[in-house]
Amino acid sequence: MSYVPLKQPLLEDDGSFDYEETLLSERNEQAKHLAQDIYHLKGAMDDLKMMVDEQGEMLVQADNNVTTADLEIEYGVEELEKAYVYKSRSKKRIIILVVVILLILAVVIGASIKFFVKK
Amino acid sequence: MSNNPNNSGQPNKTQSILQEVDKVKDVMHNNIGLMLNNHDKASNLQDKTASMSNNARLFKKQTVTIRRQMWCRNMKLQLIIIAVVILVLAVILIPIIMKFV
Repeated sequence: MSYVPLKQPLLEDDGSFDYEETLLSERNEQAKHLAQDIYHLKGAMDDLKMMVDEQGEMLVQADNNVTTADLEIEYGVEELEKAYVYKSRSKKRIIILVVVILLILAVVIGASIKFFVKK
Repeated sequence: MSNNPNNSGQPNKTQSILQEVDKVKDVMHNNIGLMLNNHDKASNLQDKTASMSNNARLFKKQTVTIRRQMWCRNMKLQLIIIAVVILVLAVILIPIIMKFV
């Protein structure tokens, strides 16, 4: 009677210990897996940050390009307006010049006619 | 009997965390894909704006050249008009001066 109760508690302890050990092993593996996954996430986050920084620099440079282009086009438009003003003045002066030349020719022709009539 | 539910509860929490981490990984992969597309678009935008800036600079140079040409032509015409006026005055005034002399 005293021998049989000694065996039974040992068997029960072994069974309980194996089960708990299995649970601990599984939990440990799951924790390692979780750590690896989070490490991969960290790598992904770092890559994402680097890409965002690069794109930020690209967009800033694009903005600078657009600003520069805007200023230069405005300056160019002003230059074109000035050129148009000068062209208009040139046209007016061409007309004046033609009129003056015609008047001179008229005077010369008149003088030559008088000279011819005089002879 | 009381140990079994307690032990089965914690693995469920760990597994749920693992599932959430997997979901986050998927989302991160999608985000990285989107960022790559945005990277390409930003690169194209930068190239196009650089080209536009170069074209604007050429436009500016050409307009400066055109303005100078117009100004030169304007000055030439003005000089011609002045010369013609001087000739006319000379033709008119020389006989008068000759008469006085």
